[in-house]
Amino acid sequence: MTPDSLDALIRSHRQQVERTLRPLIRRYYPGMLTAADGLEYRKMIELSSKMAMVGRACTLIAGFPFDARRLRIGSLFGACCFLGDSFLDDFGEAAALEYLKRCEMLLTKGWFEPRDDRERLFYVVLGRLFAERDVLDPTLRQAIFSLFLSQKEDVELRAGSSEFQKRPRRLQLHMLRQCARNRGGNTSTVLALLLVPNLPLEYHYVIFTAGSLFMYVDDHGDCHYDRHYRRLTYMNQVKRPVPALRAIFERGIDLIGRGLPGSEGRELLIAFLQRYYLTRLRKHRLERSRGVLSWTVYG
Amino acid sequence: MDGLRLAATDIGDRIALALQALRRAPGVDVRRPLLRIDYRPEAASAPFRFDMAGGKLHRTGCSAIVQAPAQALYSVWDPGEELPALACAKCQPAPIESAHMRQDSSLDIIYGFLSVVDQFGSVLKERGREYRNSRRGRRLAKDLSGMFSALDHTQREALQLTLASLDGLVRAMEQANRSLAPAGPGNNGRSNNGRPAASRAADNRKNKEV
Repeated sequence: MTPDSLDALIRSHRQQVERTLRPLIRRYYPGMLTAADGLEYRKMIELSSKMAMVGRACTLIAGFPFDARRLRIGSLFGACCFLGDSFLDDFGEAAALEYLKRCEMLLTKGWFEPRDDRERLFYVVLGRLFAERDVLDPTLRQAIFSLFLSQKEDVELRAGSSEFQKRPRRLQLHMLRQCARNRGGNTSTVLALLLVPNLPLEYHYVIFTAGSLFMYVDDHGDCHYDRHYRRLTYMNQVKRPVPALRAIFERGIDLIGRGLPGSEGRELLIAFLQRYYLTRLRKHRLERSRGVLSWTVYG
Repeated sequence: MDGLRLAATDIGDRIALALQALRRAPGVDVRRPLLRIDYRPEAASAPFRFDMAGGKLHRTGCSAIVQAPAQALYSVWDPGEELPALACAKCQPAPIESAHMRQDSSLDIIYGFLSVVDQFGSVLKERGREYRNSRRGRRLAKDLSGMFSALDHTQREALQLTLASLDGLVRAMEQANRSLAPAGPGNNGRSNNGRPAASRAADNRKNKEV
């Protein structure tokens, strides 16, 4: 896949994602379109486009067409992740803990009373996503709940409790690294299962690895932001983050290359991961000089 | 077609939001689940575990599982044809074990229906009373009455027998539901031994690839 064809695909997916999400946002959370000059909205579109690209790769890997319905699922999943992450990241630690409790209630009992427009949009997006597939499929249920547990662990670890600080540094790094891997791996697993419910196990292993690469790369890109808010991640705690990330990344790409049969989907996944990696390295460098509010698109 | 889909999703949004509003309705027991995604109770009894991070399939209880992180460990009932390539060398899982894990899905649907009636009974009764007094409700009652009077003696008896059977079935199921699950919400009224009906992956319309 050439850089130009990847760029064209990203642009086309971004436009289609926007066509899916904009009417929903206009209806349930119009404030998002205008707040901070639409910055948060554009970030949501960017994350959702990323999910659509990864979703396209997963679907093609499994040998199915990435049709309009799957594009819709990828877009909704991106919006759901963006809003879910914002609950945990943007309103302080006390709010994050409260949201974790409410999310647990949602996943164990099904109750989630939306209190404002943002929550209403989140709930409607989740409802539409759940309506697209059999959400009670055992593997999908496990993936969704494992993703929640990984997020919960991340919120607990990143605060660096005194109990966590007492552990040897090597163990701390191991826990942070494993947590990032599980967050990313379970995210891509949920996405893959929503797009291709009967995906073979051997593909899951590779897609889980790809998801974890996205997470390490993301955490490196957000390094200064996370430090600013005193959040611990593997990528902002490891001593030499750039070589560490390179080693993880190269191993992961090698596994994807070996673990999947040759297909358009595999090539797309590798090409997009490499693009993502380079843009997040750039973001990391930019934020060191510009501060925590810069962000970089990837195509 | 797009317009139809938009209308359907719009109705779906309204229903989803209205369901949450029920949480404040009198008589609704919010301790009981509306929908449970958490799968840990059922997952515990699966014959296999797949380590997503390590790419290995284990028998449940295999000592090599200890190395695998819990959040990357998925319960598996039917590993499919790839088992040999993924199998843990230590426990060597065999595919035959998953053959008897399926359950009767129609029974679960009846349980599901009963649990909704049971949990939202007060709301349904209230809506029923309102509907009965509405214009549409009165028209329906008139139509039903007309239809009933048009039946001959044998047909009436057959209808009454059917209604009585259905009524009896609902009562029996309700009784069984309560006696089987006295603790209430733990497992959503389902039996727990193995893969539940919701795992009907192969023949589920929503999950079929088209």
